[in-house]
Order: sequence, then C-alpha cells, then structure tokens
Amino acid sequence: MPVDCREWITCLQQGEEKALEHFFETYHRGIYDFSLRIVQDKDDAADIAQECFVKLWASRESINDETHVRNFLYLEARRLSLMCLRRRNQQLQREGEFNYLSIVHAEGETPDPGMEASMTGYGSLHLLYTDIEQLPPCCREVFKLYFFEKKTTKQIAAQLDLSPQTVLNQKTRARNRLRQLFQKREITPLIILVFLWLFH
Amino acid sequence: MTENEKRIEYLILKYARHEPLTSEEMAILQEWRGRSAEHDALPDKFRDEKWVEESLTRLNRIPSEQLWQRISERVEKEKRLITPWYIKVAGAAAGITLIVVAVRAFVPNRPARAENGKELVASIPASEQLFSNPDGNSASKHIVLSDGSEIDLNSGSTIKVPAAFAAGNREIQLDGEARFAVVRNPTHPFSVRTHRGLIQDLGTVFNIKGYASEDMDKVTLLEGAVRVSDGKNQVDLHKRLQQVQLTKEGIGQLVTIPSEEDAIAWQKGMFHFRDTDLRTAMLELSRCYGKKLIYADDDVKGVPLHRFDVPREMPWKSTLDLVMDQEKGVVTFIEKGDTLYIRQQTKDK
Repeated sequence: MPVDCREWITCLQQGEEKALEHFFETYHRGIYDFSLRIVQDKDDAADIAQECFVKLWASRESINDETHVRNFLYLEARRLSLMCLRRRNQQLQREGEFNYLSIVHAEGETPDPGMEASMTGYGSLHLLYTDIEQLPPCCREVFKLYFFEKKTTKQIAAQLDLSPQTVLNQKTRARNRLRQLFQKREITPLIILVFLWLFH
Repeated sequence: MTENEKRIEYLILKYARHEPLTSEEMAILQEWRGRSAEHDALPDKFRDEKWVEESLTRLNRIPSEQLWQRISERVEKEKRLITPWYIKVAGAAAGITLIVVAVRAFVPNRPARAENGKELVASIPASEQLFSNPDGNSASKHIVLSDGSEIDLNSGSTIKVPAAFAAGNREIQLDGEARFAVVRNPTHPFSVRTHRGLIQDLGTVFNIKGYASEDMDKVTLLEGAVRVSDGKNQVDLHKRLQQVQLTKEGIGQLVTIPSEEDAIAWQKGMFHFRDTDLRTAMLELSRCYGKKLIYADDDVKGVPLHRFDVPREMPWKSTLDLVMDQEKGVVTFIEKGDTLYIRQQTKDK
C-alpha cells in the first residue's frame, strides 16, 4: 500500500477507489464539521460532504496534488453550504428562476485566509484523532468511552463486559502506551496533555 | 500537500504542547501566523484543552461509515457508465449531479439549531467593572458573576457591574443587548438599568435589547418573571415569551413573540429575522461585523427582510450576498471599505 502522498494522487487519477477512501478518511470530518457550522443541519451537512467526495471522484483526472484535493473539497463544501442557506432563506419558491448552474465552481479559485486557517485547524485535529484511533484495540475502546462519551469506570465495565479493575488497568495501559508512542515520535501530540488531565 | 503545509499542522500541536521549537520551526510558524487574524488565533486554540476536547468529541460523532457507504455506492454507479461518455461530458456531468442533489437534499424549512460560539469569562468583581463585547465580534460573550448569575452579551454591548455587587447591590447597567440568567435572591433583587427603563428580576431568565442606536428597548421573558418600569409606570411579565417595549414615551404594549429565536437567536449564534424592517436587520449586522451604514433615503429603511436564518460566524461577504439576494430589485447595496451604502433601487432598472 503506497504511503507517500504523491502515490495516492496517482492512484486517484487512475480510478482506484482505495485512494478516494484514503482522502475520505483524511478530510471528511473537517468537511462535515465545516459545512455543519454553516448550514446548522446534520442531514444537509452529510449530503454536502457526500457530494464533495463524489465530485472529487468525478474530477479526479484533473487533480494535481494533495493541496489541490484539500482546496477542492473545502471550496466545494463552502459553495454547496452557501447554496443550501440561500435556498432555505428564499421567501418565495422561485425554483424556475433559481439557476443552480450559475454558481459555477470557478477554476483557479483559492481559499480565503479564514478558510485556510480552518483547513489547517481541521488538519491538526485530524492528527490528534488519528492518535486515538491508533491505540491498541483493548485500550482504544476504554479510552473512547471515557474521553468521548464521558462514561464512568463502572459504566465502561458494564458496557464492555469487563471487571472495573480491568477497566482501570486498561486506562493505565492506555496512558503508558500513549506516553511510549509519543516519545518515539518527533513531537508529542497534545492528546497526551488532554489525556493526562482527564485521567487524574 | 506541500511539505510545509503538513508541517504547520504538526508545529501547531508542538506549540500547543509548549514544546520548544527550533528557530527554523519558529520562523515557519510565525510566517504562517502572520497571514491573517484567524491564522494567528489558531495555535492558541489548541492550547485550550476544553476546545480540543469539544472539537474531537464533535468530530467523533460524525457518522463516518454511513457517509462512506453512500459515497461508495455512487462511485460504483458512475464506474458502470460507459467511459467515453463520462469523460466527454465531465463538465456538464458536474452540473447535472448538482441539480439532482440540490432538489433532493436541500429541502427548506429545516429548523436551524445553532451551536454556541461563546467565550467564557469568569469574574469576581472587586470594584466597579465594565464588560464589553465590541462591534465586529460575531460571537456572544459569556460572563459569570460572583453570585452565579450568567450573562450573555451580544455584539456592540457593554454592562457595568457595581463595586458592591457581592455585598448586595445587584443593579447592572446595560448598553446594548444581553440575555440574563439570574440567581434569585429576594433580599437583594437583581435589576438591570437601560437607557429607557429599569428591569427587575422577579424570577430567572430574560433578554433585554437596549441599544442607544435603536428606537426602543425590548425586554423578553424566557423563564420566571420580571418587572419593567419606566419611572412612571410598570408592567410585570410572568409568561414565557412575553415581550414589552420601552420607548422614550414609556412602556408600550405587552406582546407575545412566536418563538424564542425572535429574541435570543443571537445568543445561539444565529441571525434570525422574520418580516424585520431593513433598518433593524442591518443594525444587527453592522454590530456583528463592525460596518458603518449610510442610507440614501428613509423609505428604504422600512423595507422588510422576510425570512433570514444565517449563522453569525459567516464571513461578511457571504452574509451580505444573502441579504442582497432577498432584496434583489428592491434595495441596492454598495460597499466602500467598511461602509455600506444602502438605497432603494430605482424602478426603471
């Protein structure tokens, strides 16, 4: 499986669905959240996110590099989100007059500063999210239930059918594992701070 | 992605972790931060553990598998099309797809539910204190007073909390708009003084809109009861969503607003207008974005904006586009720097 950025682009251009899945995994959370903040509706945000990746697939032959992928997805997300808002805010049902095709995705359109900062922010959040996903299975479930769903040791034990002591052990193991993992890397992600702060 | 772009993402995390950066890394990060105010603010957001936790939790809730499933299905469908046809009409195909999706997906009348974009400011006033949410700030400002009462400030608003607040004098001065969630204390009643009147808490949650630039103050009850007085007369609000106006002539009629969005959509991060006159609507926008308004005539001020539900954190240009869209053919907007010129569109256009 290709690890280098450039390879994923080639795969995408050649019509490998695996490549689309790779870009989906990297960007869909940011795209969804970005849309949700504009349209304020989960179903619409999901539709928009879906559309962005389908469009990426449709335009795959003209994609040059990963920067292009990222910009393409976010610009499309913004365009569709604004369209959705515009549609929702129309007092009259001027469907005939409303020319969808007139809002064309302009070639060479670049993200404005605010969007660029957002995209980077989502990128950093994705790095943190990946760290959690890369925890070994035992610790990962416990950690996710604790961190994301704020469940107590007792609740986690009940849900995963483990003894409370096992849960506590796995919390400790997760903590140590994260520490180890992070020391090996060039930098230590923020997750360990958040993690330690929670696991007091 | 260029090497530097990916690197910035790591550097931000390194910065957030308070790890020392090499001089090269420092330079890269500084250059990136210098690109805009949003760029500059981002690394510090990552130092806010609460923000990181909330963000990750929110991202975790996304139905990823479901989403991928739908995408995969559509990709499969397209793969089965004859290749030459697909390549030839690539441009048109994008348009066609859009129409289908738009008609299916973007059904109007979905209720807008906003996420709070609040800054948390806790305070224990020792002397008289001023809390302000300036013009040009789209998010509301959240303040917690020493007695546990909570206040949300809209853009362009200021409150003054007296020195002896903890001791018992709970009279706040308000210039602007705020939502109050008051902790009851019968011996030391909570009250708010605006330009035009005094609002006394008899219960818990209410919204006051008291900008000097508008013609009137509006007090809306959300929970509990309040007493509104103009110095001569007084009116008690005791039912949720009751609203009363205060003008320089005194207290107006008691009305009931249709939904709480009419009074506090701002606190939920939204603009919400229903048959609102242009002047009121544009004032709200000007405070949020820090823009100056100049009207060519008074008539245009009364033009209604029928329906408008838009997040406050949208960039100015996009919001203005949506307003212009609704008032197309009726009102003309011209932007020059930070000033917006508004006039009626002449009929023979």
